[in-house]
Amino acid sequence: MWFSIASSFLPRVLGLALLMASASAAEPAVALLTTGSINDGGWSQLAKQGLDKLTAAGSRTTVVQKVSADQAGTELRDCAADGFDLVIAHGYEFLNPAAEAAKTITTTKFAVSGADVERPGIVSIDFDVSQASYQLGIIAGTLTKSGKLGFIGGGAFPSVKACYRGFVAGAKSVRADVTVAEAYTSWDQVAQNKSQTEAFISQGIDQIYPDVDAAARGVYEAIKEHNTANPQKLVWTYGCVGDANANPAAGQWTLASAIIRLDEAFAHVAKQVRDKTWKPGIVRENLATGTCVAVLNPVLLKGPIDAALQAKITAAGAALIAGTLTIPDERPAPAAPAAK
Amino acid sequence: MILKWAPMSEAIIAVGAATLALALVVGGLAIAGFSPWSVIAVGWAGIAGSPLRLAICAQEAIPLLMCGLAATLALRSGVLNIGLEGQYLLGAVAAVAVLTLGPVGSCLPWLALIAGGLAGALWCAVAVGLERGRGVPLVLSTILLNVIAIHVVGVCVQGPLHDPATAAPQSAMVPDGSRMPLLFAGTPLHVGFLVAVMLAVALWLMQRRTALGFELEVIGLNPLAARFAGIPVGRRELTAALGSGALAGIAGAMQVAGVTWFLSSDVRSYGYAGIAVALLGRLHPLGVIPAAFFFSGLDLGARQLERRLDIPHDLGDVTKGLALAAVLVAGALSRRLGSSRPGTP
Repeated sequence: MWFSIASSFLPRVLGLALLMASASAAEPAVALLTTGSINDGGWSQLAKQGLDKLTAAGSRTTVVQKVSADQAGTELRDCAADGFDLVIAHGYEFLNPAAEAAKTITTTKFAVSGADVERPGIVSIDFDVSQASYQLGIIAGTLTKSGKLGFIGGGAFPSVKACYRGFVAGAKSVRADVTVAEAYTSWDQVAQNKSQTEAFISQGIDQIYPDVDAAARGVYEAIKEHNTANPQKLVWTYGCVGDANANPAAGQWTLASAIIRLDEAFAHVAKQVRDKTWKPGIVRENLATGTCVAVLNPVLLKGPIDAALQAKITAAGAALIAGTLTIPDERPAPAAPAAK
Repeated sequence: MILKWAPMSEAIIAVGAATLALALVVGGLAIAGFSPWSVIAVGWAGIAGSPLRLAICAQEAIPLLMCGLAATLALRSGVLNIGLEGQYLLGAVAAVAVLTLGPVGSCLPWLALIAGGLAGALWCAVAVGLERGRGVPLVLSTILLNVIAIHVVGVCVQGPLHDPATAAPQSAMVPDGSRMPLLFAGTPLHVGFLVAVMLAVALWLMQRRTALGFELEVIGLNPLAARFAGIPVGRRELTAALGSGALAGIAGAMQVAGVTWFLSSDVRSYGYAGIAVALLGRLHPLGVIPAAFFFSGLDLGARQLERRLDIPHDLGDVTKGLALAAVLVAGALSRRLGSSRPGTP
């Protein structure tokens, strides 16, 4: 009996081992931890799409969804025990657990995406969408009729506040008297975001920039309802993190999206592991690296986003990359090294 | 004989419900094309595949056990404290304040537990005060206070407890010297596990062996009869509510002092899960221990299934829901059968 069991299982086990060995020889095995669901239509879903690119490139991959800070330590250790070369912990919430795990685990590399500070032993990937948001702000400042803009964030996180800062700076660069109302709602409450959008519209706001992941559906639904009923008084909107230019509810009124190309960011860190050039520290992804960029809605290029406006956006992008144009940064300055 | 049989039948109901839920989920996965043996083997390896896995399972059971005890104390006394979620969070906030703002020291985690317990009790006292002073039902006020507690955490980690090194809404890390000591070196299991088990035994002894426990039990069964018997119902209910809040607060403090070592605005609370654990444990302080292990084991096993077999770990939550539904239905049926038996009062 033992022989029959062994003869049926051994080839499968050996085959699996060979498969894993061949995959890891070429590309690193990568695990992804997300705070939300990979179907959230935003932050976590984009990460899964980025991971899928690594899978297509030959990496063995896995994803663990909806991991809280309480569970992160266990998950990071489990992924290391499962032989993953790289664990991408997707969210600033994982920064401290990843730093703790890196103290004792040296065989697996840990990268935290969305983190803005350095921790020993890990790579923090800081996405600066403020520059792309600046370009969106130029569009909003140019096209607004009321001079009133609105920003809705899912939470007052560093990456979200950066989008707000960029949007405000961009809008004010073309029209100094614009006002930007800001509100922080939630990442998953569609109804809450819809009512917030309706409140903005009732205040005369005609450009709304949401950074609320999947809950942006509420924003787009509210804009669709308003614009359908008031075609003479249109409200325009934008996308953030993911490309929302073709969203089914309000794609025709979505002027542009500030997107994060997570697939490229993940490919950068995976390459470092594969090439053994891994170096803990902060990786800053922005307009210059081509990871955080503004994508104009191609349908509207012959409409509101005319050639002159496109030229203005392109020029601002070049100035931001060259460093001749900067956006005020509210992030704290790096702490001074402790005296010995 | 009846007294011995009663807890035994309760245990049979709970174990039967858990088994039925597991069987339904594994059966469903088999229909979906997964080998049931692989599912069981991979899931079990995630829970108890090694001493380390067992230690992790015990570690993840701690907040569930503490919140389960909090719910047991309240519900058995007829106090509908649904605010464990908020009391847990306030306990965590108080603990992080003590651990990050105070001087580093080995006694600090214990002070943090006391602070967490006091914060949880005080948060519950607000709800009791609203009920006594303004007639606001405890169920309603505790649920609403849960929402407020989430925002209190957000304000604290962006304000007085904010880590100046980052713009992220989170507190600073608890220094190594101020963390809960580990129970076994090389595992993440901290001494809070022993504290939680001792509290479960203490609660059981209190319920079985003391006048206070008897009075709370009577109030839970029939507050009117308790009042006629001369039991100070109001005071005893206050005691149960504050005790329940304190246990939930200690749970939050333990998690911060022993597991996460920091607090963020995205903190997970175990309050509602604690109520489910208490119900699965049939509101018995000792029954809550295996129920907490069942829940933490499901979490660990489900995450292992997700990593290894690409099965969404939400299935763990589905199993918990099924087990809870089964235990409630079985409990109701058992009561109905018991009351229809000849000679039963």
